[in-house]
Amino acid sequence: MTQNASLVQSLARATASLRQEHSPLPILGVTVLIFAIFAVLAPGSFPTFANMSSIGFQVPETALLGLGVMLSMVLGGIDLSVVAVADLSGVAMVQYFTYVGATQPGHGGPLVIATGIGIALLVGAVCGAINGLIIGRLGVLAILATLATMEVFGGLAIAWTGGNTLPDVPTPILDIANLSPAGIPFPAIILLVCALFTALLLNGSRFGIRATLVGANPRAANLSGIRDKGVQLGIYTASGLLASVAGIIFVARTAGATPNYGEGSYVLLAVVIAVLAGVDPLGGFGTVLGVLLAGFALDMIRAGFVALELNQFLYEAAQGGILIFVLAAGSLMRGDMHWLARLRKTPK
Amino acid sequence: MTASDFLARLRGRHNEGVVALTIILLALIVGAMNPGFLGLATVFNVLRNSYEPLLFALGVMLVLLMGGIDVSFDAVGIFAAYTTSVLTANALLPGHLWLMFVISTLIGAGLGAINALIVSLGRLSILIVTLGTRGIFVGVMLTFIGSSFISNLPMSLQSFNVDYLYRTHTDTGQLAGLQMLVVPIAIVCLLIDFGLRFTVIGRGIYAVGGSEEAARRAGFSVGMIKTVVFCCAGALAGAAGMVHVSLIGYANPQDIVGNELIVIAAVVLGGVSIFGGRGSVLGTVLGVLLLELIQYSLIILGVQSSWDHVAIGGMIFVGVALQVRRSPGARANLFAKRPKPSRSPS
Repeated sequence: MTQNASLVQSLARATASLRQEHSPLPILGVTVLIFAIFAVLAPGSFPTFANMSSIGFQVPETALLGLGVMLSMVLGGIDLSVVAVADLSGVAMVQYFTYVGATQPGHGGPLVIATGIGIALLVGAVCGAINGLIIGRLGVLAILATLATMEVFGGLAIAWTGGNTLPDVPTPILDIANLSPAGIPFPAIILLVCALFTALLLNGSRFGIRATLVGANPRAANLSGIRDKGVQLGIYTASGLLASVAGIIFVARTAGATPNYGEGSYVLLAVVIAVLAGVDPLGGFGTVLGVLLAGFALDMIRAGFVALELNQFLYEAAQGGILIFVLAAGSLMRGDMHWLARLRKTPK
Repeated sequence: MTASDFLARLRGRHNEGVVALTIILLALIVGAMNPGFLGLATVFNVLRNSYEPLLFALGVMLVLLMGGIDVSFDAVGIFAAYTTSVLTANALLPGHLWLMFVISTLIGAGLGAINALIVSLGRLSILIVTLGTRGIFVGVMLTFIGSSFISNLPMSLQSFNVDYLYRTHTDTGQLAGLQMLVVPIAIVCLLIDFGLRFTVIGRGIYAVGGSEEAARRAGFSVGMIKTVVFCCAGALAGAAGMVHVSLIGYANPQDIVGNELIVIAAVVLGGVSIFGGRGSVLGTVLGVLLLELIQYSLIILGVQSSWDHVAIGGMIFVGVALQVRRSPGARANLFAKRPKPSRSPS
């Protein structure tokens, strides 16, 4: 009986996000709407399996970054260094492969591959931990700290490669970007696994609950005896790990480790995804489901633009527009738009 | 005045003295390693590299004083400068350099007004709004205005580069000069400093940065202050973009965007508080000079440019870590959409 009770409880907790104030239902509606719009506008090229599949390959890298940014936003901060961490992890992994000659026949065994991946993850975790320590222990504001670490980590990646792209990527890694077991793109599977872990971490663990509390009201959490330093460390380490997974996917999809891949645009995209997902930047809330949907929605827009043969630069403008629109919508619903009320009061 | 008073005054209200000292120390250290370094040529070269970031930094400072972080300044800069260049190259504008500066500044001010408008829609977070407008400005520029180099700019532009007030040579025999540009830029700095210190709007900026709600209740017109600040920041960015174009000689729409961190770092290093309400023009100028000196020193010392970012990041880190010491426990929420509750003066 107790087994069933706890199963029900876990289910209730897992779906609690859908019933909360910041429910991801709106973003679900938005995603469906976007799909419908582009399916109508480009019936021949958009709603095809090939297109969906290509989206499935493209979404994970940015969605993982979005998850990382979401975690930092739960604490009321922002992690600008996710892309740099991803790049550095990728560089570290490929440097290792180059060092052991993994692309040469007979050398790229599963142990080597696993070690390479492990190195990438380790780099991500360490970078994330550094962020967490600077923000938690030194008390530096998250945006400034990650601004600095973004430069340092990105700079290390550039210095380590001399600014060049490292090409020694063994086939099993490349396969990550090319295989679709059971028709589902492999990166999407990786994304779902990571999303599951993140959701369990955030919603199903004591650590996650503590982190949410710290983000929602740091003072109250502090007075309740929650030590926020450990929470900062944990959250940013998790963020770094997610970034490193994204970095591995970068390498797989671009067949090389580029030290400043996605530097400018991906950070914006990650933040847009997090905000679109309904993540409250004030802290205290974030849904993994929302991030997945938002990542998917944004990449559908990108694919839609391609299908409609619109200028790709317009996509970046669209991202900015979406960000502002979502912010404004949130503000409207919260009743922050005082000038609207004043307009209504004007006598006719 | 006691000794500690004197030291405190030397240090400056926002640690400007510390930055100045760092500049001097750095120059001495590098000078020791490379004897030809300490000379007028170095000063002129560092200044030359500082004009553009300084104008951007002043704009960032104004917004930061008000309590918000503007990350759209580089997009505004390149949008304004590139549009002006396109208009001029297509003979839609007469090809005078001063006119290009004026137009670019005006376009920048206009873009700044857009920022102000969006932010005032519902007291939205300045950081995220400018993150959005950054994408919009760049996207719109590349889509509708063009994405190619513009190199047929008026001749007055090319001569701009060599219009020196005073010339000298580096120890390697290269020409280095103090450009005419230093005069208008110095005037801009003085004007802003004056405005911040002695005008009501200027004090209002600090007030809004300290506590928006308190400023509102004290009678400051917060909406107008925000509009003025964003327009000024936009105008400065437009001018900075034009400086960039004029110093290189051509307009590349892919330029500028991506280097915003150095500017923000310089402003923060210069003592401007990220929480708003504290900071000075002098600090910002010194912060920019320091960062440009670091970059220049790295080149002179032969350090590979790939280590640039690490060095800059390290400096940012040192700067912000030091800042934290000054205001212990004052951890505001960057995304605060509602005005922050007032802190006790530190």
